[in-house]
Amino acid sequence: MTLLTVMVVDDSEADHFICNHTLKKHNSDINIIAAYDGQEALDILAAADAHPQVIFLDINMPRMNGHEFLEKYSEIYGEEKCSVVVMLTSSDQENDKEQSMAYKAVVDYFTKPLSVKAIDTLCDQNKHIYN
Amino acid sequence: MNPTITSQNLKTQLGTVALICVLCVTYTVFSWLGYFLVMPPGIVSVMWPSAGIALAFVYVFGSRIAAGVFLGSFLTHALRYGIPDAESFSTVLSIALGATLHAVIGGYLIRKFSSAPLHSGNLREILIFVLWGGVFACLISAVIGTFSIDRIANFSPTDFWLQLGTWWLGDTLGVIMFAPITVLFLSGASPNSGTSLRLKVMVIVPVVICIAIFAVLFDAAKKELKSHTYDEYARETASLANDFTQTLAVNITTIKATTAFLAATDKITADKFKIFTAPLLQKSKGLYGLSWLPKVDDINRGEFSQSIRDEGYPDFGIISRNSDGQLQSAPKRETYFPLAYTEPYALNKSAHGFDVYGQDGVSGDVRRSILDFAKVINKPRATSRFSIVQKQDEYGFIIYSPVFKKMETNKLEHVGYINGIFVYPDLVKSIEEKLASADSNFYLIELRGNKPPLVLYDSRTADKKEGLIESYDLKDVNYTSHSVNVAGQIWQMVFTKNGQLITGDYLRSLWFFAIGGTIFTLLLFIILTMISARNESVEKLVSLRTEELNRANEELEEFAYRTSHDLRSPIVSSVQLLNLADDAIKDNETEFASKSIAHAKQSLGKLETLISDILTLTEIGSQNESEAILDVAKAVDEALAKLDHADGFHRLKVIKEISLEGSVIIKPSRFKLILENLISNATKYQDPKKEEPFLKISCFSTGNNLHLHVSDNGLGIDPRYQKQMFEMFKRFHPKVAVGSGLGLYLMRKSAHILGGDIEYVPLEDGSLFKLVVPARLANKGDRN
Repeated sequence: MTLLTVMVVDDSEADHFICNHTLKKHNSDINIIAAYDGQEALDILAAADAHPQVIFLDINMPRMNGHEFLEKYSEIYGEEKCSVVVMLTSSDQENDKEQSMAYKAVVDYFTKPLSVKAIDTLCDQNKHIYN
Repeated sequence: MNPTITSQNLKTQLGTVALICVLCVTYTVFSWLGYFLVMPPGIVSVMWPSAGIALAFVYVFGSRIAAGVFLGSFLTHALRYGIPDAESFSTVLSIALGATLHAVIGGYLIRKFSSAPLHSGNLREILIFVLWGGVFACLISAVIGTFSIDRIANFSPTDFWLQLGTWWLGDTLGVIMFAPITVLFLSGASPNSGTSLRLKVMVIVPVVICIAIFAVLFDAAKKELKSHTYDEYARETASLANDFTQTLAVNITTIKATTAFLAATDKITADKFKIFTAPLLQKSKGLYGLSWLPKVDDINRGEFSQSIRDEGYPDFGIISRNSDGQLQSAPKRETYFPLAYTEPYALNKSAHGFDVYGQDGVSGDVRRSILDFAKVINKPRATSRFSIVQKQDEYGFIIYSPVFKKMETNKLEHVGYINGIFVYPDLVKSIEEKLASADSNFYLIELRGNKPPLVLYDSRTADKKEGLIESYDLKDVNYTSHSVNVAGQIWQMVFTKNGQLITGDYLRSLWFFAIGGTIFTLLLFIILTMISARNESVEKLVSLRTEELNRANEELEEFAYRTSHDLRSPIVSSVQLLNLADDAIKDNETEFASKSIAHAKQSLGKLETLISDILTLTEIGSQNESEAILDVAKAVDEALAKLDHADGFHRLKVIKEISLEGSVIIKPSRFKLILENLISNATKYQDPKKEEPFLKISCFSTGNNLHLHVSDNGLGIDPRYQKQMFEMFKRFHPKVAVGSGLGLYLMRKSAHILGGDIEYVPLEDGSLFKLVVPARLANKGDRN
């Protein structure tokens, strides 16, 4: 099983490059939407017809960070059936992990760099992504 | 009409009315304390706490509640002396007006001359308060009050000044002792007063205790002095009463001796009587006359009268009063008791031959009943008060002593009376002479069982007879009284003290005590407010510092977290990118490999910027830079030159408005850091869509402040993020340029170190940063 549409929210150009490469390895036809901070991600989601299957979300970002994004995102889309969120960050602080995993939408917490194996495991464990 | 404003007005008006009522009641309640501290002679208090209360209320809440003072003063007088009648109404109103003017003018003067609240612990403010509100403003109430009372009391000049001085001092002491503490108590009721409950408790409780102790001690001292003076007075009057009793005893002894002499003498003659009584009369003070009244039966009347005439009194005859009060020959009756011999004859001549047993005249019956009673009990008996024959214009009385002779049959036979004649003024002469030195008055009354007492003598009246009935009411009078039995009559001697018990040195010592107590209370207030104001400021400083420390601590935690992430993140990415490049090179995908390496380079570049900013930040905190002369125009040029190679700098049109002549004294590297960062930001975040992007730098000075304004028509900052723009690691245009997010934070920190601040002003099109720092213009004498 493979992912078809994902969104990567990260302020680092280099991390986008790495993510793209890894995601393309998982599925060469994957559609990747790039956002550089929480606000931009919300703007894109608001304008889009359909939401991506998975949002890979960094924590430390300018303007609106990952935590702030999750708060807004749950506020706006809390009741709807929408994307699952996977944290993708270089922070291994327990605080960050607890705070983000508290949101219903968040299903996993990855530390950078993203690997193909992690994506596959994610797909296996979260079958509902495809529904 | 706006309904909100109307209801607000109503609320304010209701508040004012409530405050006026509270003031009126408080004024009246505290006047009780004033009466408690009342100082002899009694109209004016040693201290009038209500004056302090009134001033404090009007000072705190303003003149709008001054009506409360007027009503309070009026109510106080009405409660004390009853509702004033038409005559005294205007007096009570002017006293109330004086009290009101004192509070209003005093409050105004204090507000005019003071510059800080009373509780700030500033000695100057407290002195201004007591001098203007107390010493000076109390003249108003004292002058008006004294003039008002003078209109009905008609003081002598001395009394007028004494009254004025006492009034002024009483009001002043009341203000000094009660006003500061009341102001402090009330200051919580008005908003923004800045007094804490603790400050209030710390000052008010001890001062109130001090005032209470003062009041109790003052009252005790007053009572002690009073009782001391009273005891002295009681001793003096007791001695006078004792002398009087002695005099009476001597007189009665004289009468008894004469009685015994008559009983023992076979044939009494005028000469014998004269010789016997002369030395006795000399010793008996107050005895007006001593007479022998033999029993004469009607059949012996002629013979008896002839025998007296033969002894050298040719006009002698038995006489009595007719119904008109005229003396005439006594009408015929069974028995007569005429004055046969009387000494001293000259004084008692008019009564010679007068028959005391006659029932005629006003006192005939009274005399006869006493004569009969004395005979029955065989003891001298005194009459009640009446006008004696010898001295019609003065009151007197007579003591009759029956004379019994032993007959041959050994039987006692009543042969006549000895009478002692007294007039009260003569009798009390010895007391009267000493009254002045005892500062006392005196009256003598005869108690008559259920009947009201009869006034025998009163030193207070012109004719020494009874005065007005009110003058015998002993309420609120200092007096002593002593009883004596005068041949069956019970007399009471009453001494009433003239003036007050506390006078002279005692009065002065009480005044000094009051003044001392007031000064002590004021000093206590000053010291306590000073201590608590200092405590308060120390506490404020501690809480401020704690808050600063907490903020710094939070910032430090955030800093540690962010640096650990931001330092680690580019390294993790770079390692992964280099791995990818490595794999790509193995697979001969050179294009992908160089892309990966380019990204890795970019990540590491970011890392370098971050590390350099962190270094700057740590330097800012640790460097203790000293001030130096800085040429601002030159510094601006240097900063511009430094950024000359930055991307996009040359697109900007640079406008400089440096209106500073010469140099300023400032910490140069911090100022330069701000300047360079502002120019760099304007360059980095310029709007590429603008055809004429600009950067405007203006610099000017006002007073001791240096202003640097840097504005542009660049991208600006989204209003949503403006609140956090000076925080650490905040970036608002991540795609436009690379940065650590520390620039603005560094600028603000530097501005604070320079003693000033930096603020952001969003423009309609672009940004404006305003830096204000204290910096003085350098003089020629200043050296770099």
